[in-house]
Amino acid sequence: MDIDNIDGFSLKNLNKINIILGKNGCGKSSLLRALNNKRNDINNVGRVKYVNPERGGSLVTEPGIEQNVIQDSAWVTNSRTANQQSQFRQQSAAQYRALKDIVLEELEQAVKNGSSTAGLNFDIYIDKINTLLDEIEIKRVKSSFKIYKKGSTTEINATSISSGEAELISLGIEALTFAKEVNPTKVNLLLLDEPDVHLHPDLQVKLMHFLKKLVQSNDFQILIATHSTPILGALENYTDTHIEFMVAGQNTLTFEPISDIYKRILPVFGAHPLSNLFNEAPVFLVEGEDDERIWQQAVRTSKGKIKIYPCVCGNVTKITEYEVGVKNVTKAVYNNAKAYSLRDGDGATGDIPDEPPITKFRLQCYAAENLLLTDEVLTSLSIDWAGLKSKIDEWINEKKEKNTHTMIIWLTSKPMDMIEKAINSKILETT
Amino acid sequence: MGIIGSEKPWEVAIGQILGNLTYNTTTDFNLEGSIHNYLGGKLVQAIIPRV
Repeated sequence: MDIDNIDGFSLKNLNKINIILGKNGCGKSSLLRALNNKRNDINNVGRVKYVNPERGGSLVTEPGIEQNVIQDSAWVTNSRTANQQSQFRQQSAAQYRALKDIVLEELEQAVKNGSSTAGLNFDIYIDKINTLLDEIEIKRVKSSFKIYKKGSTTEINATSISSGEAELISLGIEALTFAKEVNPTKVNLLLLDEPDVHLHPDLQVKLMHFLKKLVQSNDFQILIATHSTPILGALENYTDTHIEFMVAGQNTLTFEPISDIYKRILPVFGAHPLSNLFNEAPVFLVEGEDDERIWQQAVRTSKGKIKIYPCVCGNVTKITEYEVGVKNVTKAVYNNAKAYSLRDGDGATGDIPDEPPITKFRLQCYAAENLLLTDEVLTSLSIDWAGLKSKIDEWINEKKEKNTHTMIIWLTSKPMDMIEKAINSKILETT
Repeated sequence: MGIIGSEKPWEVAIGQILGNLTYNTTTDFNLEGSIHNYLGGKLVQAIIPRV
């Protein structure tokens, strides 16, 4: 699905869940607020709800806010026009009652029509919110809810729970209420601006699984603006997720599936949303698994002095594809990003031009296997080049009589004077 | 590696040498059999720790 020219922004190829990853100031919040504020310009629009990034307040019921929420279904949306909403959680608490009213009205209607009432039980919604919480739970109390230590009757004041727990309850209510309010024949957008705020990476993952289930069974789409790679990681295998890496000044966002390349380079980010791991140990793209093993060993042996994150691409063509992926990610996440790629020599010489932020290397020998023949490695294996040549000759002669292997045929057909030529003479002999 | 009589995986043998490698401004990239030469100056200068 596409959304065209809303306050200058166009969104292409939207899916059920859509992630916008980008640095502070790149325009993510401006885009989401534009969709909220100019929602009537969206073709066939149904419901739109914006969840501000700076969500303040407590999960308590305030009569004035509750009255506004109950009387005007657009009041919440209209009140969220800036980054900050100091009474966000009071609004969430008020929507709890609205959610309850909707479910009870549906139940009443079903009974009246003689249709099935299965699923029209408000406790199901309470249970859904409680799946987000490990230490506490909410329970129905008259028209509102109270918070308890999980599995006990010990009540906890709403102002005493952690900000992460308050976030989860609040976002759970917001999302469930929205799912109930949508018009299934229209375009419905839940706009989550940095839902990861105050949430431990594990809780971010839990929230994403909650949203994934919700969006699968309801007719709406989610746009998530975030810096959080745990969120990306949580959704990487959900095929209805698309992503766009946004940069400052970008007005047209073309969303795409989370490709295998993005999945491979994701671990580079580590588990923390503010991780600068990419710059502390930049990704080091290599062609094959043997290259990856070599450089992983090098990092381990160097005890952290070699600072790279080896990542295997598969072959030299794939390295080029991975480089595009790395560029997309780094430009949206880091200033002054660094990344490396290493290609085999494959008979070529000289350096490859860099494509910032990627510094490109080419081995000055044919392939990584040839490093085995260097003086340093041979010395570590208690042998020198003359000794190795002698052992290779012995091995070839041993195999000659019964050989059918093409490599042996090739090796034995080469004149030994080829050995001393060129910079990679040892390599020439054993290739 | 079998020819040499070592059971160590060849990737490990190379990786261990790389892990202990250092680079300084006098490193000679023309020394034919050296691992610095096989890796190339650009890679060594960017990745290998300086001393």
